[in-house]
Amino acid sequence: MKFWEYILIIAMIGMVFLPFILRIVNKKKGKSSCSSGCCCCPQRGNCSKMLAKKESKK
Amino acid sequence: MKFALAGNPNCGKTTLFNTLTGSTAHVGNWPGVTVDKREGTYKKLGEKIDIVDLPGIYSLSPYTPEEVVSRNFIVDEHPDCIINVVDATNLERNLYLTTQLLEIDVPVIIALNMIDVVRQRGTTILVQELESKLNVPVVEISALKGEGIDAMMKKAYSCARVKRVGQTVIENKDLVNLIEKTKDEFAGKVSSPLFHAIKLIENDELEVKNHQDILADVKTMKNRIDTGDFAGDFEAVVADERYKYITKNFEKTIIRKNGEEKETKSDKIDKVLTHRIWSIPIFLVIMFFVFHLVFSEDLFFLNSIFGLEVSSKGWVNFFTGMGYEDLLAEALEAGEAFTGISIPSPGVFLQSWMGWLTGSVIDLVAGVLPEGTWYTGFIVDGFLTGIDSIFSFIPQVLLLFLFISILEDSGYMARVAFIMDRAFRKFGLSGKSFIPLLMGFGCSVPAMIATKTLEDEKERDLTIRLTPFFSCGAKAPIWAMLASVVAGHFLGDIFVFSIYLFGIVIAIVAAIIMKVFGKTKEVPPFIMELPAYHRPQAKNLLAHLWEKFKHFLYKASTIITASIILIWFLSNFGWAFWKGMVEIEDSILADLGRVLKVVFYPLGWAMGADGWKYSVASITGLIAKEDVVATMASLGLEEGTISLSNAAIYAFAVYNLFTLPCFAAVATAKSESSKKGFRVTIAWWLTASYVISLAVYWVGKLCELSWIVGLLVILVLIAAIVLVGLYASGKLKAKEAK
Repeated sequence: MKFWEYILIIAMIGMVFLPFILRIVNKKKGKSSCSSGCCCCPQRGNCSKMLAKKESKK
Repeated sequence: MKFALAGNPNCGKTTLFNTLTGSTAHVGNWPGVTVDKREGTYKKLGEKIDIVDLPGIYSLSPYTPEEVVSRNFIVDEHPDCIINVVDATNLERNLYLTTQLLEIDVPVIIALNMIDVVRQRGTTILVQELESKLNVPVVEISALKGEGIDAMMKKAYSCARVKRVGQTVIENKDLVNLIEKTKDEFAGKVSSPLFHAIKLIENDELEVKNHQDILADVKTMKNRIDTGDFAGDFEAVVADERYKYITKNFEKTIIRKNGEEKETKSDKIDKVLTHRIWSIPIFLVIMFFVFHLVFSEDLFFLNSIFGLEVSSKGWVNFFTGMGYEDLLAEALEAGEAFTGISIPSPGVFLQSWMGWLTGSVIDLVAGVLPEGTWYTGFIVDGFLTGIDSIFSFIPQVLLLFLFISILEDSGYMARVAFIMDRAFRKFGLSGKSFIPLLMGFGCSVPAMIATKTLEDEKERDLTIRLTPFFSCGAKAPIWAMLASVVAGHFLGDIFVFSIYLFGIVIAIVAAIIMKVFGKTKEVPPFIMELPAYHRPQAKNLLAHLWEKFKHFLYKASTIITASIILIWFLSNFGWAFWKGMVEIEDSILADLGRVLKVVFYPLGWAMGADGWKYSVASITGLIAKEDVVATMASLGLEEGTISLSNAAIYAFAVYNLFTLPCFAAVATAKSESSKKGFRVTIAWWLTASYVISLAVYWVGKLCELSWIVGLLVILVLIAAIVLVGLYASGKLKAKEAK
């Protein structure tokens, strides 16, 4: 196998885990992980923990 | 600073919110679009101002969840200013809420929205007189056209800097006396004592619960007041006082043009569209027209009616973007009677062009990459083919949404809920459930959230259970793909239309059955304001489409790509994957699929050699419904390679329509349902999809063998449904009679 084939395999594995990584990153940033905006979402508490924390502080 | 937007449903709060904050929150020309508060920022005044859009409410009583959300925010979170958005075309009715907002110790400003429509009608509202009577600033605005917005914000900003004490419009001396005494009891204990005092006098559920200590004194004081015809119902007494004040004071602030039409344009249109007999046929014709424009390969019925043949195919190819000569050659080779070629609908036209474009990209990449390597297989046959299979249908799906958004924005969808309510109230179904269900045509997630508006928990569970039956946008690529292979290309529109209709019919039948076997409750009256018809706004329509496309792009680049990679790996490697690639039939996925095939075998579509592929595809649909198409394409099932009978295709479509929705929707169902209700919902989705798909396949098979026997079976099924419906109706009537 050539070196870029290894890179492609790593990229593929990365793409498989990307949705899960994004979910965690978004949680930390307080963003929704589904792109559809979390203002009315019942999952907001679970999905955007930072936002929930901010709200509870207020 | 924090400003709250409060007002009646469908008075334009969200449109104003979007104009102020530059957001693209979903705006719909029907009441109940906003069911929870949302926040944005207005920056034009040099200071950041948080704008909170509250759900539309008629009063501050805690009867519905929206009222609770709005009331809690206004009373407990102390916004710096309340912008009371008032529909200027219905001023008197909207002012009922205003009279309650004025009782809170928060600065209030009245925004007379839709003033452009008022002026168009030749009506004048005496703003200064209104201002002096309400004792708060009043501003004329048009949220849609952006008129008067900055002036309103400037006024609200200066208002927010001055403290305001609540005031009431109640004039009855005895009642005012009672309010004052009750207010004194509240003094120092709560903010806005006037508001709490009046609510306690009204026997407001929350106030009674929270202020038991004062209640006894208030009751004694109330007993001394003569309530006349209201027989001690203080909620009615207070409401009557408010209405008296509004009628007495504000009738003269509206100067109507002489001879102003009593019957508006909307009334005239409604006479036809909500007609007692014709409304449902008109709805069906409108929906068929929409599906015809999106999915038909024969837009002007040239082929189906006239059997018209096109001698020069060059211009047809231009119109479709695809080689119709190839299609003709394929059909002739397959021995199919190819009667002619017609002009396709805009949806098919766009899909063909998109298919041609993405197909060309795949060909280009395939030409560059070396043949026979694993990575060529992955990039071309796995990744690109999977993404292309969905992408090529996206223009069609967006077009479908454009039409649905037009119907929604024009105000017609609100009428559909009204029509449905009138038709199905007899069976114990409330029209209020139809609003969330109709939202299900877009996405099941917000539709399930919208069930918050239903007060009864069982009604909410039932509505959530039926929501996926209203085919969401993510399922549209499945129908578009199957439409292109079903019954010789020319019945695509009828196929998709029938799928949507079948979903609605089954939802109604299921609701009737659940009502019959469940504990039937009296159906609460469905009160919905029918919004005036208006021309759909291009800005709103584009915002809807953009949201849809953005959502799709996000899904395609994350969850769909991830599942395509997994599917490719599982379908190209065996259990001993380190030994290298294997034939698809020896792959891990084939083994897993064969297990699933056993389960789905009776449903027809899993019977053939490719049965395991369909089984796998229907399971990957749980991740995202678009994955059904992507998986099928990755496994080599596309137009030309799908060899299912029409009965099996229909059964496959029906299974995917009724089965568990995607995981996001399942999670929403869990959070919005009761614990027991959620378990029943899961069992219901699994059972309903299996049983209906089974029935569809075998009845279809019977029709293929003998039309008469098949037709008889269908008639028996319809008769059984009608009998159950009549039984439900009878049961309800008996209950009402009791």
